[in-house]
Amino acid sequence: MAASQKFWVLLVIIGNSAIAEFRGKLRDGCPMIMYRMLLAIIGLALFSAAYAVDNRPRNLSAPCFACHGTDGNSEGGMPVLAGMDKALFVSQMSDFKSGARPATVMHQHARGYTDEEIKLMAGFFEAQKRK
Amino acid sequence: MSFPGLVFASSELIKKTGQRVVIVGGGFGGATAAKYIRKWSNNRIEVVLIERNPVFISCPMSNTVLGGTRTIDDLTVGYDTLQKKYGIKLIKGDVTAIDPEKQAVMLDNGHVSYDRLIVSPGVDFMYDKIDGLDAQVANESILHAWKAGAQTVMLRKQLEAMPDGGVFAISIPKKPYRCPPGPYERACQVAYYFKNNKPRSKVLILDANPEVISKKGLFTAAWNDLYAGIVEYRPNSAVMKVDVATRTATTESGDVKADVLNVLPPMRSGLVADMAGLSNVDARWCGVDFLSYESRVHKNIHVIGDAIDYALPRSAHMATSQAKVCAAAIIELLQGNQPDQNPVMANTCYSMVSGNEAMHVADVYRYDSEKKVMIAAAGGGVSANRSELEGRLAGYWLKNILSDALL
Repeated sequence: MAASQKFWVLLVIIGNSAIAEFRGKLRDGCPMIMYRMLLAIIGLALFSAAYAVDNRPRNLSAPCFACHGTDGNSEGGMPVLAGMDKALFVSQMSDFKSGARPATVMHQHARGYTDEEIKLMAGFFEAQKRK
Repeated sequence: MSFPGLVFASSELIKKTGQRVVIVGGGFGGATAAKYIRKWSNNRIEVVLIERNPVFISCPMSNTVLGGTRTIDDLTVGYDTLQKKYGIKLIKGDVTAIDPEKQAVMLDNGHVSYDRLIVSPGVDFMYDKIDGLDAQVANESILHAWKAGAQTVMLRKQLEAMPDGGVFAISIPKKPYRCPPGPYERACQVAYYFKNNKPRSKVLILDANPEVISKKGLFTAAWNDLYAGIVEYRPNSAVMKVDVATRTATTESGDVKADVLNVLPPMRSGLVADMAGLSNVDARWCGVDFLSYESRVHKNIHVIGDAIDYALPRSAHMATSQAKVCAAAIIELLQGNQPDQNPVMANTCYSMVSGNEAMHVADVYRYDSEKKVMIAAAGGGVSANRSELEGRLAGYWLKNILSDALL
């Protein structure tokens, strides 16, 4: 789980206990319809925050699409990355980086990214549907 | 420039219902931005793309049309998939004005309002820097063929009509210009055609720069190994004047008479950028924030592609990489969120030096939060050698980048 996702999950937990605490006060102070609306608004806000997508893996991977096709679905010639096993992606990129796997161009790309970024890209491509 | 009142005197060409991004220019940058705003917003944000040309023609690989291994049709893609598959609204036409205050783009027959505007204007040519040259001359006789299309085909015809033993001269402006290795690749492609068809002919490179500015070792090796006796390279040879009737170019070091004269004038941001005063750097390039590509001049207007002010290569892959950063940022901004604060992008650029051999330059660029610019990460570089393998990879590169931008 990415750090940002952990943050939002934590916020939901805090948010839920806060709701429980304020529920009573809210109910006492508002007509029922307004109380329900307030609960719905708070719930919706917390729900969308919890499901706010972390686009960093996608953003890091997007420049790769120029050669490897949109979402890693190559149109020909270049390897398909969509659906590639995450561990395989990481090991290939590490081998390009170290020079263990010879390449025409990929060593020059692999060396531009941190190991953490390579893991994020691996996760992105693994999750893409292969056409 | 803005035209108060103009918006309300004309009619909205497409009724605006939700959030809308208007994109001016459907090259690699504009087409990619259009596709990815739709795709990444789950089609929530409306995209209107304004383009003057009926079809897209790729500049990358267009030098191979001169060499004879590709035709212009191989480089041509329609805009219909962007419309049908992604629901992008295409307007074919010329922008006549941009109103940054009223947030609207004017055309002959009305206007389109925007929440965010992306200007992806490519380059235009500074004809006034060369005596005797203007748009008409450049269209009819002393071509630049630096926007792929009719001029590319015409330049090939000039080469075909040239007698064996003739001279093709290409003039390269001082950097920066669109596609740094492109002119040297063109010299190779014309030499390739001569070698096979008109072996007594010459390719003369008149470079305003003091040396080859891209893939120097690789191009020099190609000229020596493949085209000895055909290609001659002259540094510090800026063309200052041309004579159309005699096809003579006047350089710092003397006059050059050619049978086919190909002058690449100095370049600047596409002129449509000036309609909103976006070319704020040396009245030539558009300054942007590299986190969102928002203009330094106007809020809610973004500029991408060859027109921006930066020290990195003006290439198709860079334009598409910028377009994706810009698309992602605009989607965040329209939801009230902050864009990605650490953009990373990649560039791979192949040059075809013969019928089947190529070489490349590849780099990853990362945002430097102190300098607020994109800088090259360690580890990038060029091919060890030109090769047939890279020649094939260049073809796959073209197929995939065209698909990523337009299909």
